[in-house]
Amino acid sequence: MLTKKAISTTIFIAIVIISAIFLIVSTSNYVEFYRAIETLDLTIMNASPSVEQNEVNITLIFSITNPTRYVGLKLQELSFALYFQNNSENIDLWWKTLAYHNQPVTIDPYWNNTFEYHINLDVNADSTKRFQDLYQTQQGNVKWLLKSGAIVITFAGEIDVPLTAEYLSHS
Amino acid sequence: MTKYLTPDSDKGVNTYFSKFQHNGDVLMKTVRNASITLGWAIVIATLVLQAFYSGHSYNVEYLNTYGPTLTLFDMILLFALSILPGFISFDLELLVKMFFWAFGLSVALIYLCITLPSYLGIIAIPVLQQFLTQGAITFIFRSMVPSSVICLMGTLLGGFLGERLLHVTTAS
Repeated sequence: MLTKKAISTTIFIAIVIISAIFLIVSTSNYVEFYRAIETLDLTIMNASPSVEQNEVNITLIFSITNPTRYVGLKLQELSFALYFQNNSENIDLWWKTLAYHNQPVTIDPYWNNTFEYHINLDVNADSTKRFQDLYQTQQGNVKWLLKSGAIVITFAGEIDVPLTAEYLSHS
Repeated sequence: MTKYLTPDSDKGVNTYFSKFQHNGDVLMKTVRNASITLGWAIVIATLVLQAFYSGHSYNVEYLNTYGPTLTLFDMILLFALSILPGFISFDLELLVKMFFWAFGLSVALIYLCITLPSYLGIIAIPVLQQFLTQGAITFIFRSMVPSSVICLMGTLLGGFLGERLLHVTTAS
């Protein structure tokens, strides 16, 4: 029969082994954190406009990729700003912040998720009118710019992750 | 040449073996105490680091304050887990020595784990490396100062309980 000392020693050894395993696993995950923040990527896959007489629609398809095995990132906010170029001047066309404050999106290891967002621009807005005019004048060959950013919740608080900064396209 | 190295009599043989056995016992005790100290350091470091990794120690409110970085639950867990080594090694003088060694080792382990990305070359920018080092030192001070008192109290309680329960059983 085991003595009290043998029982307490066995419990202690078990706690040490569990702690050591936990320490190795959590530290290796922590080390991946810096890689995850550095390599977290937002790619604009498609941003094609459809310009009609009374309607300007843009379909935005983008993907967010976490190429690391880090566990513990949550997407809280995604922001986009769309500009078009007219005589080397960037004109603000549209901006939007997609917020997930109530239910942040968990970014799992090796996560790659594609999102599709339909933008319906206000045709009465001055910038939209200028865009329509330019689009028709240039026969659809408009240079435009899309800036994006994300706020990610991490163990160290909220971090503004510099994602793919801009996307230049010829329609 | 010492007499126990050439055991040519019963007395010599006994002296030789008793000396050998004594050295073996001392070695075993040293290894055992060192193992307990190392294990204890791992347990303390794991508990404190899980507070760091889980993020509840790193709330924005804490960044500009000097408050403790461990929660009440962490403190209770540290206290409870410090009782066990004290319970096993109930020699109070030895326990206090082991406690300081374990605590020093756990501080070194925590520092090493937090700054590991710098050593592995994952963080290559010197300013960020410095930031990480300073952050590690700050976190260690904030978390380990209250922890040391709590761990010592748990250890002493464990030593007292061990002496009362185990020593009495061993003696009887």
